[in-house]
Amino acid sequence: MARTAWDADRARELALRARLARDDVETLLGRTADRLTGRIARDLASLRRRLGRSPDVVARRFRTSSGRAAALVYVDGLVAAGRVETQVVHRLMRPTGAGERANDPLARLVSALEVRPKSRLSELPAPIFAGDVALLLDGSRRAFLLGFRQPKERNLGEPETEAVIRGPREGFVESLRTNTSLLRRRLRDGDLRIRQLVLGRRTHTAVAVCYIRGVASPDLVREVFRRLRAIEVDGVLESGYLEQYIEDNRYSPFPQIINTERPDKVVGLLLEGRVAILTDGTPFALVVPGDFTQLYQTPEDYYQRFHIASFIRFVRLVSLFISLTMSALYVSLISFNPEMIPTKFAVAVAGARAGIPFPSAVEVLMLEVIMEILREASLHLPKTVGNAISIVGVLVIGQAAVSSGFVSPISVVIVALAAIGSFATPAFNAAIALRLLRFVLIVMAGLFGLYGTLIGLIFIVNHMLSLESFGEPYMAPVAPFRWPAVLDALFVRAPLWVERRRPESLAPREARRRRGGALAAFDEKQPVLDPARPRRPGRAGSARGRGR
Amino acid sequence: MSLALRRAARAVAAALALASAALVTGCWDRLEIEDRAAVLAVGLDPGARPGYVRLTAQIGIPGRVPLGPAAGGGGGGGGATTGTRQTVFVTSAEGATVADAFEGLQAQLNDQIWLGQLHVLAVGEALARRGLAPYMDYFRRSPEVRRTVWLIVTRDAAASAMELAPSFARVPALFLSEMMDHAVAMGRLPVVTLGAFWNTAAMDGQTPIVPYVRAEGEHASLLGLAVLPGQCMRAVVPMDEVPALLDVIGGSRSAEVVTIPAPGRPGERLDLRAVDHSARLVPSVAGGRPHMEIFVRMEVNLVQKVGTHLFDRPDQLLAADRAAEAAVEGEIGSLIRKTQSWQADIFGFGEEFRGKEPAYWHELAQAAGGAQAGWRDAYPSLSFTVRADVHIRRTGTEDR
Amino acid sequence: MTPAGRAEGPARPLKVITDVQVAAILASSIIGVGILTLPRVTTERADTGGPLATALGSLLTMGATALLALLGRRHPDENVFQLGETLFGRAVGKAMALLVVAFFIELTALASREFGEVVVTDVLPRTPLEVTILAMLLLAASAARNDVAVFGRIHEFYLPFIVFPALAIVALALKTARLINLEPFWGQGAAGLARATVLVAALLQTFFVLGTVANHTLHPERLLRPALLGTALAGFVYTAAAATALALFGRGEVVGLLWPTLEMAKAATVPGGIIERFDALFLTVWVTAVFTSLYSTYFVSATGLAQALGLREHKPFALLLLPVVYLLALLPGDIQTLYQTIFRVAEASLPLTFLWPGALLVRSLLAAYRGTDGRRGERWP
Repeated sequence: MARTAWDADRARELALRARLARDDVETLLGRTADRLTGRIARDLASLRRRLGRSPDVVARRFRTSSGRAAALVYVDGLVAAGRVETQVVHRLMRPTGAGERANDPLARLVSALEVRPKSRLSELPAPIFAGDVALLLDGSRRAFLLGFRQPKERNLGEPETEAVIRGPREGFVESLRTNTSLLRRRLRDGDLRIRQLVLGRRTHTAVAVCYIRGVASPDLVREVFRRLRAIEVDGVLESGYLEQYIEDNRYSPFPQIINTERPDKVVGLLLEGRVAILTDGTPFALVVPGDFTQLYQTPEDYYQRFHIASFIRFVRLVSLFISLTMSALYVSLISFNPEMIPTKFAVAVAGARAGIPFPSAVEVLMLEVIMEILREASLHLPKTVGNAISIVGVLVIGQAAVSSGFVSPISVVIVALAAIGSFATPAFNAAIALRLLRFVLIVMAGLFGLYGTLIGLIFIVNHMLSLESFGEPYMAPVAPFRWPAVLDALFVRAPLWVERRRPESLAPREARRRRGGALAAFDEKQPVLDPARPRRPGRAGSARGRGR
Repeated sequence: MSLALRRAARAVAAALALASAALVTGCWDRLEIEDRAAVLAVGLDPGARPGYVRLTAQIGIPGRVPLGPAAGGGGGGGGATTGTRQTVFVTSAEGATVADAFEGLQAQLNDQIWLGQLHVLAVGEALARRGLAPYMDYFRRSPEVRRTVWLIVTRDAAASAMELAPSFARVPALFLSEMMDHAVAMGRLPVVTLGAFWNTAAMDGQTPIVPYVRAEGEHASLLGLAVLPGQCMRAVVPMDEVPALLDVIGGSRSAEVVTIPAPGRPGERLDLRAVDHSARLVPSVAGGRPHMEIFVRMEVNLVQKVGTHLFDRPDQLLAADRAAEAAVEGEIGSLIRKTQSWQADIFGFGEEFRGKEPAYWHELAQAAGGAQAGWRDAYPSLSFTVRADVHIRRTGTEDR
Repeated sequence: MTPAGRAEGPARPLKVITDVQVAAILASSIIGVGILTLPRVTTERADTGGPLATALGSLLTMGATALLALLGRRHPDENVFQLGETLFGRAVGKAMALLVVAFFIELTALASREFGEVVVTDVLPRTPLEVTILAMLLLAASAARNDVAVFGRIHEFYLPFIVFPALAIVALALKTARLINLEPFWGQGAAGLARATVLVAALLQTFFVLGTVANHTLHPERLLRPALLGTALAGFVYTAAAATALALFGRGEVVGLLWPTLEMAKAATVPGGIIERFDALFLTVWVTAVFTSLYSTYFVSATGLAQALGLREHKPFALLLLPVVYLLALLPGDIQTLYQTIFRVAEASLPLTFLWPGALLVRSLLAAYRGTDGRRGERWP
């Protein structure tokens, strides 16, 4: 009894060893062991071993109508299982109809989206994990990958981080394929090139590099590929991973790569000659090279009429500046250079500050920290509770702090202004960068007043001027100065019919965006609604005919 | 070599990082606005001891001027007069020099004296007649004092101007400076701030003038311009003669009202207000004697008519123009003659000669051992002609 | 355009500086701390001829700029220090480079000291001078670690922030200016005028920076125009400042003020403005202007030193020079000594910046005339 038990254990162990040895041999042999043998039981076993014997890997065995053994291998949840059943299993099991060749099951599967034969086992796991279905047929030395991908994805929705008043309401989603389709839909041009890479040693994340051939500079495209290929990491969970690997200056607080979840923005940037990098699993696309204009420009600028857009852009630029410098200027004026304040106001400020226990620098820093905490708090709570937080922030902290003489009302106004200024910055990551630098400036102001603020500001601007993104200076149309691009970048959004050139800075192949004279076709006044207008004969005739 | 250099550079960088970390500990100049004794106005008078100067300062008290609109400010205190009195604090000290007096003042205050918001520098007439020169240097050297401060001479002691408490003004010092600012804006006063005074005082061919003010109790009024040749007050140009000065030195808009007899109608009179004016000075030297031609062009509107004189024809306006020209020429001429008697060229004719007749100016300076003294002596003998060109443009909302 | 393009072989220097940048580099380098004292020192020497002397001095500087620009056109791949070695031999070239470097180090030190004095006198009276100087020098040194492309961009970016506020202050001051104060515009005779002109030229010597960026320009063949434009712009700003200060204060008062331009800015007001005084605006202009010119002199020093020591890279010198400059800046004992030193050093170095480029050009032309490989200068030794 005991002996048999021992034998059984022994047999099991031997079997295990044999299997392991076979694994090793197969691994060692590599090429030969990699080949499908055509014996379905053996191939299926090898494949399942390669797939890791996970519970989510389904191997469905069945026999075709001609009695041939077959198996489908796929990952549960990634595949439209119902369609696999009806379109593959049912068709193959159904008795052969007239005219159909019974021994060619593939001919019956033409309605499947795509059929890709593979003869190596090693080629199978990646597509299967990506959502393909592998069909193994007894006697066939090739397996067939059938496209039935149906990943779980959310519906297209309005991007929350980049809401617009006027403009398309759809944003990217987590699926790369959907995202490329969103681009294609807006850019139906054969020159739109989408090149795919797989990054991440373990995650095997699909990354698509998109650009318009003949518009984007080949040097830029080459550089993008060079940097992407140099990435050596086990996982890419979000495009932020890539961003941090490929940006030029990794220590700079300024975002050097544009990120967006708006397909229309990406298309606009592609048309300028930039290169987009889409990552599977995230709605955020990266676009390079980035420049400082991303701090205050939105795609909507180009949808509004140019006067309005210019004005809004100016407002954003001002708010950007306020967000960065307001608090520091306030501190330096109050504690260092009050002679610059008009007397009446100075007297009032002095009155408001009388009895405040802290120096203005400390006071403002404190308020800024509170402001950041409030902002962060409202971010992590459901929207309904978020409102409660802002009420607490405004009423309890703001009002009570002022009336208890803890802080002066003017400081609250200033800090709130600076905060609002930073909220008016369209790019979230840029707004954060500026908020970060604001603290530096406040400290400088607290130490050296206006002089310190200026030194700090020059330091920041110097840094921005020294930045480059993919060989493109960060402050590009301004420094190096490029006329007339600087107009569009800084002051006004030039009317669309004037802006005929792509940013020269990107060294585009095709510099002009529009051909021919400005609006020649429209310049000639045509009496649109004039009843006396001569009508085109064909339509006019038919209209008359109907009238009779 | 290069590696060694780079290492050295790194060492320097580390040292610098340490040094700058040490620097951050200091916060030398921080002085919150409420911790400064903001001197809004300063008055200078002769001290009790001979040669001493008495300095009276009006200092803003933080917290006494309520924020927000005046009507809602209940914190200031009950009555209006007491409210204003509380916004500032007046104190004085005596010293051998201005700096000395400020030291005395500082001893009475808890906060550090700060002149960054100084608006008015008042000098009592007694001190002004003695000469301003010794008292100006402190203010000139201080980086806190603005050149736009109003320097005024007060008829009574400057100390009383510091106590001035206009019932409707929140800050008394601002009341004085605004009175002057608005007078300039209305064209009643030339720009004669502290900076302008210093500029003129450093010129050889011009005599400085400053506003002459009476300020006491609740009232202040502008009496005219004090004339200070060599920074010592000598005379006063009364307010009604200031327009003649403005006509010549030009600059700001003149609000002059010229009153003329109606042409051909004895007993009737016209009042004309200038809306635009300009002047041109042409200096010349004939036979070693300076001569100044003054061309004044004015555009005026009729603001008042006393009588039955008609103005519905162009030639009637033209006749009035001629009468006005005569009046303007007369006013300017009499003011010039008056200043000639003081040997005080408040018009700056001398500067015109310096600029346009440098040979004459050089000679003058050589002869008198200094251009300033030379012109002082030559000015009374200056001959001049005044040509006025006045046009009545409009007659208000009346047609006749 | 790729970073790979940055690491070019030793045969060709980086070509990145645009025409606009050439002009901007010159203008913002020349406009520096000297603008504060200029109205006073020119009036002291030339009386009311100060503005004219400033204009003449600017013209003189434009002439010297033209020499450097012509040199740059003839030898588009070498900076002025390398040219010295090519045309006059290694020993002379290196010696001259070291002389120029010594002068520019002293210039940097004196300018930063003058800057510190102004800050301590007018803005931060209780902050130690050492701190204000160090802060500014750190800024310049940290910027000087960048390559020439960034150098061009920084100058280009700041130029409007120097020129426009400066002109705004001039325009505001003009409201109360008196034109008669400018008369007679030629001053008190040719002797004073000449002395003032030389002094102005001495204060504008930062134009020499062109010698170190000319070999990095994209279009060396048309270097002359932007170079002259940039210098002319700086000259215009200086002349406008000198004229306005004189017209505003009069000759008597200008010579009594340590920094007339600063007083002018303090006197300018905008009625109803949020900021009552224009100190703030002026401080902005002026800190920026001082920074850009310190950056330039620093850059010239570092580049020249690297060349004289036979090194390709100027970067390590950016920080190594800092202690030297800092100590030199702290050397003058009082403000009068400081100004005496500034004027002496500036005038003594005039031959260096005016005659040396001239000598180089003559040598280069002679070589070409003799036909002895005039183009030799385009090869690296």
